[in-house]
Amino acid sequence: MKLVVKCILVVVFAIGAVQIFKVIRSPEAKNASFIEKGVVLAGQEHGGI
Amino acid sequence: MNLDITSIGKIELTRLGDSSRKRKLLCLHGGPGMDPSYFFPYLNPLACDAELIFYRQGCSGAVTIDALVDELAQVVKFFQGSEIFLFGHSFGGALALEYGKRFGLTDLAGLILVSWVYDDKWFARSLVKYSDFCNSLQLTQEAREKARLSKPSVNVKCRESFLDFVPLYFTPKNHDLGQRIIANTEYNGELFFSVMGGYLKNFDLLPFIQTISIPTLSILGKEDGVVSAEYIRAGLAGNCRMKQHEISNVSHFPFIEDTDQFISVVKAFVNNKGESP
Repeated sequence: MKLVVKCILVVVFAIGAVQIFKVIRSPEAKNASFIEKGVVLAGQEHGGI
Repeated sequence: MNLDITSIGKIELTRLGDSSRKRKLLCLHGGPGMDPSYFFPYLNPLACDAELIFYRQGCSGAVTIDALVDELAQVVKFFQGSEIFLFGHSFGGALALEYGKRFGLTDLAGLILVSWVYDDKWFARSLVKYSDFCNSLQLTQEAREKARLSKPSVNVKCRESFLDFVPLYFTPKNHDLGQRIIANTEYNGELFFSVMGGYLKNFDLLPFIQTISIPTLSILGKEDGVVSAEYIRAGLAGNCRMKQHEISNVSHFPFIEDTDQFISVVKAFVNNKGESP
């Protein structure tokens, strides 16, 4: 019985991990991270105004 | 047309037009850390309506926004008693507003803000709109860094940063012209990295904009790739007294890409002392 519960938990965690990975890899998330990086690196990576 | 040089301590003013004319147009370039050469010859026709004054920001050694405002204050004080219009392009617009915030605008006849910024959100909007360009540029910059044989000076790095963004500064039909203008500009890398990495990451002039009561004209390029039209419109929303003129088919340097329209709008504004451009 305990083994069955463990297996179910592992599957649930695995599905959750896959979903999180998909969100991180989405184009929107990539843009967000670049925006954050652009602001952080302002003046070092992009031209002025 | 007269061209003269006047020095105020370490600040060297280039003066174009009739120096006896009471009306002065004090032109503040962008960058930070560029020089005012990109205004020429595009603003020259305005010398018939006002004496044009130019100087290179940071020539006194200033590398912070406070020091740049002090520098500007010296120039404004020098022309005290004249009918002074502050003309700020891009970062120069923020500098003009910072001057007003510190010293007030009562000594000025008007403000002309071109493709200007008022808070630290200016670049985030463009990054979203041009994310593909920015992402590919990031790879180019990383590759360039790895391929270097020696460490470049801050002035060279500064010029490279500006050249990288020419596709956003100019519409496609003027890329070649823009490339030449940006390449021929001299850069103050120390000032650029100091202000870009400091002040421009955390500033907010919106509350001050709401208090402006002197005649103010805002001009934007509808295709501006770095300071979007939507961003500038949002800045104007806080003050219905400010006038807005939008020029189609131009980007961040509207006086270069549509000189005729730009000059006629500014002439109308200064000749009517801010009434109905």
